[in-house]
Amino acid sequence: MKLPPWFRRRRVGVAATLVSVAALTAVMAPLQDDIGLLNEGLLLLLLTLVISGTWGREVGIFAAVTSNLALNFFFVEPLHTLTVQSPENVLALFVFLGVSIIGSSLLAAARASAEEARRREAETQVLLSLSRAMIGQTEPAEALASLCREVVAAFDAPGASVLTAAAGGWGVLAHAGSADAGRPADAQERTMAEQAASSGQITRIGHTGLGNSRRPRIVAPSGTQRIREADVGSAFVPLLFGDRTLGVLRLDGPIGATPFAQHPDSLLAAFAGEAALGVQRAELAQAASHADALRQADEMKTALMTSISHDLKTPLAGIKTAVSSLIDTSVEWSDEDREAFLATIDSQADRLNRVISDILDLNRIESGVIAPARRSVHVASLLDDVRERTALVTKPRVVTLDAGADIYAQADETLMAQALVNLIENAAKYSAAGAPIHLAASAAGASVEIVVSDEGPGIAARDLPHVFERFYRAQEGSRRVKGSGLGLAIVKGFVTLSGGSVRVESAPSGTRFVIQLPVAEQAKASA
Amino acid sequence: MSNPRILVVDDEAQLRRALRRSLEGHAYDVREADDGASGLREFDAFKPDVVLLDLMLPDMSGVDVCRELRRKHETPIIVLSVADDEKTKVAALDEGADDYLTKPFGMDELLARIRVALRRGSTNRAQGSEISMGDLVIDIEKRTVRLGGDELHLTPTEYTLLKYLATNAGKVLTHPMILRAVWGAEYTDDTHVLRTYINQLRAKLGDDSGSPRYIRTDTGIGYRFLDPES
Repeated sequence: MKLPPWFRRRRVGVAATLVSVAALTAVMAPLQDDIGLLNEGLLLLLLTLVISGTWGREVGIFAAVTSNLALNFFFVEPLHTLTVQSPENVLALFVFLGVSIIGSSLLAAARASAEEARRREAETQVLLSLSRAMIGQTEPAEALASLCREVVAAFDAPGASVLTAAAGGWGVLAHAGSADAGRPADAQERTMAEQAASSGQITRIGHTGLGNSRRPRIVAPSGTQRIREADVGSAFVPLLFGDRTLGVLRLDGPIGATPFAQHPDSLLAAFAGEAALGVQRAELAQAASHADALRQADEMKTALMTSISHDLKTPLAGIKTAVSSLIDTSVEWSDEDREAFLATIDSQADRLNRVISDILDLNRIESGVIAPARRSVHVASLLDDVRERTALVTKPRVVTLDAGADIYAQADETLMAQALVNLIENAAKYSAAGAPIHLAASAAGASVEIVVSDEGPGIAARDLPHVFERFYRAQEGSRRVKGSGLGLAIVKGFVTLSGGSVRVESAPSGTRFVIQLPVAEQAKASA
Repeated sequence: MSNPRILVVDDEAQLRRALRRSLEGHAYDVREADDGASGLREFDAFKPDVVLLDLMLPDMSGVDVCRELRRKHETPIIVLSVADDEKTKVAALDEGADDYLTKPFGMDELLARIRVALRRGSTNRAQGSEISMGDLVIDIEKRTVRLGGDELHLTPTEYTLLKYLATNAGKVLTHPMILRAVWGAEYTDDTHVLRTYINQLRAKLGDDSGSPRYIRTDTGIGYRFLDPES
């Protein structure tokens, strides 16, 4: 039989006892000669048991005493006094009192254990549903959100959230229910969370609807005035993991009339335990990703050092070999020998200079010290200029130029020129000595496309996504080509700073680098 | 007598040419190869007395070239590499390289290493019944060691270790190589054992690890028995 919660209150039970005993007495009093004392006693005993079954032991005992007094006063001679004439009636009244108290207690105990069993069953259902919801959640934050959803469902609460004391404040790690559940903790809530975390006990603000069982209690924050009992409030359940408190579960009130409303402790403890595991997982995942980032940075640094040391030491080796030969007086070097050694020193010093410039350029790009000066650039002139600047490197190739005279792009001319020089040198490096290199520009809508293409062997598909990464070198095939592995990273940096983008397309017949820049008005160029 | 022949295997054309010119100036016959495969081919055709080998070749690793050469030949190999990391060096030495030189290097240093390598190639010290180096004399038949005329009392292991080091004088021997040769293949990780014995041996030889006369430590790599003639 389902009874509304208000009906179960003790006050209601006491009132019902008084009313029902009075009513039964009123009905039986005129008929007492016909019914007889035994039946009157049994009827009152029946009433006592019904009351005890409904309102529990305390109200049951109150009913037993009330019925006993009514029986004595109205039905036992002398009537309308509480004195008893016949000794057997004294015994009968005591037997009545004893039977009704024992009966009430037994009934109340049976009722309580049935209720307990029902609650346990409901709890088991909730925990089963919780584990179903948590299983398969690989993301700790997702798992905690599922847990909050289960808390909301189990307590029929407006919202639930998991707070962690990260970086000074209480941050919301996950939440479910109303949008308000994700609100940041205010000062009072932070105090409550602190209290819960330090005491290891549940703390509450305002009315949550959680039963007045022993543990949930109002803890006034020290040094502040009494907390106003608001109509709605929240409970803060500490999340304990070993001897550490990892956070709190914030349960917003008022909760609904669920089986756990009056005895929430064990279920809250189960939720808190599960949530603590979730927070622990989240912490570990964060630590792992931090470690991962560190490892990657470390690998990057190692790759950088390996690459730099190779790129710097290789030309140095040539220089040192030539120089140490020249200063070796044990050999009579011919003029031709001397010239050859000097030529080696000269070319290797240039190479060393290029590598160092590349490293410095990349460093400037990455540290953000370059302030690009974007203005209207006449693309055909720019291409012609870089073609001239790279003539020594591209010799004896033909470098074709196909750009309309009326194309203007918005860019930093110096950065773009450097990027194009790098692309042309790259094309010269990666294609056969006689193969032509093509420079082209076209305007389409709001953008200008500049293409540097070669007729080399192309870039392997697996290398293609990485060519703009610094120190990336093709896996094989092109290892003969010497370079710092920085050239294309610099191209990308310069083009991006210049306000454009660069992409690469490659086929076995050649590679195309396509730079896209915003189109500029010709008028601006002359301005 | 013809000049000693040196094969230079390196993909850096400038360095190769400078080396060639310098070595030819010192009366060596030099041939060049710009990758591993052509290096192996040139080796068969040229039959060099010493190979100078870069570790970073475009087609294969210099370590693989070492292994390939060691299958058939005992020709001394000197590794030239920018790689400073010990793993790379040890790998090359374990595969049979005799020595290594980190780029950049001076020609004096390279020429000295070449001279040691050539001596190693021409004389096999272990064949004689006696190894003599300065005032150190190891009598292989009698298993005795004399230092400046006085007989040294060595344990059998110390003797075996000294003999192995002296037999390979001038050559860098990695920890695993020494451990394998003296203690056996299952001891190749017991570097601490080796260190203990080297210390004992140094004490008996009156050798100072700071300025060694006999046993030089190549940190992280192994040991080299110094050739007194170089």
